[in-house]
Amino acid sequence: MINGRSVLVIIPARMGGYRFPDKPLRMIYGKEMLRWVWENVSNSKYADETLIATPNQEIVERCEAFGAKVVLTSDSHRRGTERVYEAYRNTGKKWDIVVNFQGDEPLVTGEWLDKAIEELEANADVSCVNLYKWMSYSESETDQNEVKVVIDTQSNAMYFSRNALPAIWLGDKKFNCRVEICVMPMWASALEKFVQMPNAYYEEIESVDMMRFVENGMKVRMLECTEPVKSVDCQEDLIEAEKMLEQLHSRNGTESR
Amino acid sequence: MTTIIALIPARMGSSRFPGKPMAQILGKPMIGHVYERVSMSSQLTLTAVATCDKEIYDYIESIGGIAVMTSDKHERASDRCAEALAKLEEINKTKYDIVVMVQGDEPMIHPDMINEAVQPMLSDKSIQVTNLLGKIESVEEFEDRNCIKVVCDLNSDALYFSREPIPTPTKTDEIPMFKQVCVIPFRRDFLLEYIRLSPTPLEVAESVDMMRILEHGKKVRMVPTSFDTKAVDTLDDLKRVEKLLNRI
Repeated sequence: MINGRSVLVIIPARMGGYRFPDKPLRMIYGKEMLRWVWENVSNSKYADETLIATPNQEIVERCEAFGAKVVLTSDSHRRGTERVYEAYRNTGKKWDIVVNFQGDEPLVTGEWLDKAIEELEANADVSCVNLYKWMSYSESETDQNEVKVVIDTQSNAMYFSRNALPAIWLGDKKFNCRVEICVMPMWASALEKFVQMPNAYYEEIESVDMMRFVENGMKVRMLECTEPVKSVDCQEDLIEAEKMLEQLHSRNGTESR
Repeated sequence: MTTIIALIPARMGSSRFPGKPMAQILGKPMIGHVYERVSMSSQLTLTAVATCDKEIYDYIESIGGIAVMTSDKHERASDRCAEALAKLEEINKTKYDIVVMVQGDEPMIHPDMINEAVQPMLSDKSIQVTNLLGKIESVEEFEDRNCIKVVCDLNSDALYFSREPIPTPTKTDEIPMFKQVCVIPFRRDFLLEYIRLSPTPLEVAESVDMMRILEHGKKVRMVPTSFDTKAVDTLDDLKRVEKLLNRI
């Protein structure tokens, strides 16, 4: 609850494609990736209820084993946000804010989730908030798994792209790109609208859910996350995420295993 | 009646192609082609070239056209046009409703393109500025950094302009590719508001003037053109355009 507004967090997760099978259940620093996400979300001040939403029975069982609440959803969704919507409707309750927190973001803390929620709660004209981080141009250029975003002077997203943006005109490439982190609080009313609107044009081409809002003239506010985070799309990401978690927990001196 | 004027900003000192406006195409300076073609538009009250170079000024006068001398300190074409607008309004004791900025490096411009670009503003008072939107026909043009790619929302307002190929080409699908064509009608007061807006980071990074409008949260309506044009940025472009014009 934030200023009297209720908050539902949904963690959509699929077993993943041929590129990285079993992704959400991969072990990172002693725990399943989804368990890291679940535990991070449980540190949120504002989340009233948290659900993992998945079409896979195996994920349901493994997550229930570590105490998570899980809801089985259809396997025909083409967009993460549609899966989130199904899980949200499934609760049978009214919510003010629904967070789409992707299951492959094991390093985003409850604290940063809360900052994203605060940004949304303070801006009624914004439909959805995303976190972002900085990435070097050379890395941005080669990694098409990462979604690059360009923003206006109000920090609202103008475009999300798999290519590195912006282009530097006649200049060198020693600059950084903003990269989307898939922690996305939105108003429940915006989520309702999302599923009513047809798939948008560039949403399909870039394969980015947020473009449906942007192309329909709805505002997506970008908020910089200054903590180091790592989304996991492949084995190399996983190794890096593991190192980061290890550092984080040895620094904090907590028992994690 | 809505009064509409076209202003063509031109200067000799381009870093990539010095003397570009006076470069000869089929025996006539490029700026002459642009001027003559633009002034054939049925919608225009007046067509003028705005320049800081005596050579361009004298040439336009010599063909019976209108030219306005402007400061050589302007960094952007829109600033040059605003100065020319003020001078023309003073001379002619009037205020124009719409100012169409036409880049001097579009020698293939068709007079009807002015009408295309202005049309939505005549029927929708909320539109402050438009650009023409052209189809990109080749991968070569899509990857050319001189060609400014544009993506639009479902309302045909521009989302982003880039020198990077956008949208991202996927391996399998044919994707739609669009470019900015520099025929840019502004409502008069919006042009004056625009030149006072502070420069913005993406405008500087991409070197695209229109980005300043978008980054300040304002809208640019994109209007598809039925004409095919090729802007001249290099000597190679010029040769290509010369061939194309020779066919007409």
